[in-house]
Amino acid sequence: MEILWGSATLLESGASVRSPFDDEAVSFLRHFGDRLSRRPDILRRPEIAALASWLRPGNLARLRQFLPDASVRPRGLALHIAPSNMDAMFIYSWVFSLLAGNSNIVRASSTPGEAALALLETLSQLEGYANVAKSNVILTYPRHELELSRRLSLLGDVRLIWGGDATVSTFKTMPTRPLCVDLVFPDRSSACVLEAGHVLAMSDEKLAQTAGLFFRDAYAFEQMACSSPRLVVWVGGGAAEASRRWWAAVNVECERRQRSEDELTAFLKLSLACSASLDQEGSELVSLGSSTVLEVASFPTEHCGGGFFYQRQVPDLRTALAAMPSNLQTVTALGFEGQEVAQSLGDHRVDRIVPFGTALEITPIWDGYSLFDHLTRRVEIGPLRR
Amino acid sequence: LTRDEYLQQPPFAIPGEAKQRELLRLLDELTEHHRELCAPYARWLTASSGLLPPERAGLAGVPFLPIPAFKQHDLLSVPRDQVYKVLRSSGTSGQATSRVYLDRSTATLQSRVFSAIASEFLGKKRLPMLIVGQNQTSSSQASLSASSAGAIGLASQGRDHFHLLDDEGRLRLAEFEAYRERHNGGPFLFFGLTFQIWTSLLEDERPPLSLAGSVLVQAGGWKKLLDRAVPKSTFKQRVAERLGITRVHDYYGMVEQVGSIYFECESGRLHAPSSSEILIRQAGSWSCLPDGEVGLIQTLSLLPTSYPGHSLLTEDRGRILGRDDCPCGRLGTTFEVLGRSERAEPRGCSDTLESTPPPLKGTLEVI
Repeated sequence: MEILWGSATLLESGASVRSPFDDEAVSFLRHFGDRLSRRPDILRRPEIAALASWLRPGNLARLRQFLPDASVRPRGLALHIAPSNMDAMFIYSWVFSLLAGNSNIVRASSTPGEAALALLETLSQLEGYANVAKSNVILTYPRHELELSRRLSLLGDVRLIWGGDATVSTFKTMPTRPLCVDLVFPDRSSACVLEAGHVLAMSDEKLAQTAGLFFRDAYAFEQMACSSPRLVVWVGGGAAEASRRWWAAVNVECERRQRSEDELTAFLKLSLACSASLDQEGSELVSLGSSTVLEVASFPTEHCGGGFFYQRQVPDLRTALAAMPSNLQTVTALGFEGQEVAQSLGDHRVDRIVPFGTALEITPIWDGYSLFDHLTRRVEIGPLRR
Repeated sequence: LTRDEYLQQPPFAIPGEAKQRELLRLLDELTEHHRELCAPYARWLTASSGLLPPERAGLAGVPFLPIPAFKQHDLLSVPRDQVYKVLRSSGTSGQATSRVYLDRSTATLQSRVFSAIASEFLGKKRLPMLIVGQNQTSSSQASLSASSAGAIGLASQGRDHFHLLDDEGRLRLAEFEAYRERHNGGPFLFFGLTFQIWTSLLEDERPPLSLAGSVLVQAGGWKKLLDRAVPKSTFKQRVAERLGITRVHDYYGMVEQVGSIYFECESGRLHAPSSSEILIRQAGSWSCLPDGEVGLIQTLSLLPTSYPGHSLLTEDRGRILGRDDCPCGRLGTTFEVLGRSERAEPRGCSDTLESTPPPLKGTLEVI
């Protein structure tokens, strides 16, 4: 086991909690964000730029509004099992819990990417936060060392398990303290819904701007984030024409942003389009290149990321949402009101219905959890004097 | 000419223009044949025809199928009861393998054409054959099964096959001496995995073997050697010094197009025979690239009739070196393979990302 930041003594001494949003924690995070925004060398990475702006004082104050009320207390010690391929995710998971007042053990990826290394380096340069460092530890060890995961699981009062179905299943088999609660983040898929007439009616300028928002949603992490849309649903008449106009604009946007694609990604995208069309009568390849798009009659589950989309045309919203997979997480929608989308979903599970351009924005409402509700506990305090 | 008549001709004797014309006509016939008899393939043709191939005429206009299609689907253009043999690529553990369905006539044609091509490089005479690779197929290691498997494709080119390594990977020196004497000192047809030949015969402290006059066919690619900072030239030099072999042939081929083998000639170029052709496409736009530019290899073959494998897009990178102008005198397109395309840093919310598929080069296995 390797300690990347903070203090290993926490593993022996146990939790030392603080009040939710206490001054030291908030100041520490502000300072961290400030440091990040002064590092032009790493700010060019989208995940770091996003984190730096997320840690601004204004946003930290906004996060506070999600705290249930002033009477909540932290749960104690939180164990975070971060996903191995999303470099900044371990920070978000940790920040929520730190703000809730918990002590934290964060298990980061044992194969950190450049962004993760830059984040850890920046953290290690922060001075004057000995108390934070004493009650928090970021560590790593190879994923197959289950014995360590088992030991750590026994320490937590709350576990946040990211990393997909397999990781969630593995951790669910491990014993925990009786009062421990789990927040699990298994594999999810996300979709976007476009009103065809709305896209057809857009000015070229508006179209390009909207394609820019979509680019942010779909391409920021090469479409590997579970909130990035992979399924595209066209609602209403004129869908074929709207789709042509749309994907042309998306490809132009990719070019404008100088998105480059390695050969293997391009090959896997084409292979997936081929594989799905071998199975489905009536499928049609409607775009190639940065956005490779296959129109299908029903959505397959296989996906490769890197700008590959399955697309369907449906007459109305209700039909659109009936076609969605059961692990639907985020729906980005264009040309509808949020309530319209929510109502047409009925009982179909979805966790987020958000505008274009915000699919990857991380808020304290995530995967159906109100995170602060779960990272704290409520104390019932009755009127006593009788 | 019918396809059979065309394939009867010597493999490196048809000049470019005539070859292109005949190939195009026969490949178009194959496309229609598979469209009619293989429903999934027909669906892909319909789905892709609006955008692919970007070219509408010539060999570049022949529709192509990305090779992973054979991993997830059973693609047959014959009824199942006519399947005579199933070829399988040897993937590393946990990865999907291709399944290629052969009827009798495709299988026969494959071995006939393979033989005709191989004899152009290895000689007409069937030599006693040495194999570096264990004499067993139970091993779970992909590299070993690939070596014994690759030998099966080539085995009919040699006789009295002898495995140089025992089950533990040790040289069978005493047995080899007896074998050598039986064949009056050679020459031999020598087949093995590049990396295994290196570690078992060519590294420092390895005993020299006298195989003068023999011909070496190697499979498995150069990547593992390059990882150890052993360049191709060092390998060939050691082969000459320690084994006395000066004729070394690389080849390029895949289980999805058995028979259509691309041998490396004396001038170090891979050759497309008259039954095959190579195109190079740019990833993403999928347009054909001019000769000399590096892209993904598409390989055309007249042989597959029982499965839709006559035009395949691979993930291998390569470039065309020339046409009808190789110093070795053989006609046809020449090219080089520059390894598989690779992916940059993987990302995603899920810990279980699919890794890249196994190498295609020299991994032939018959089940």
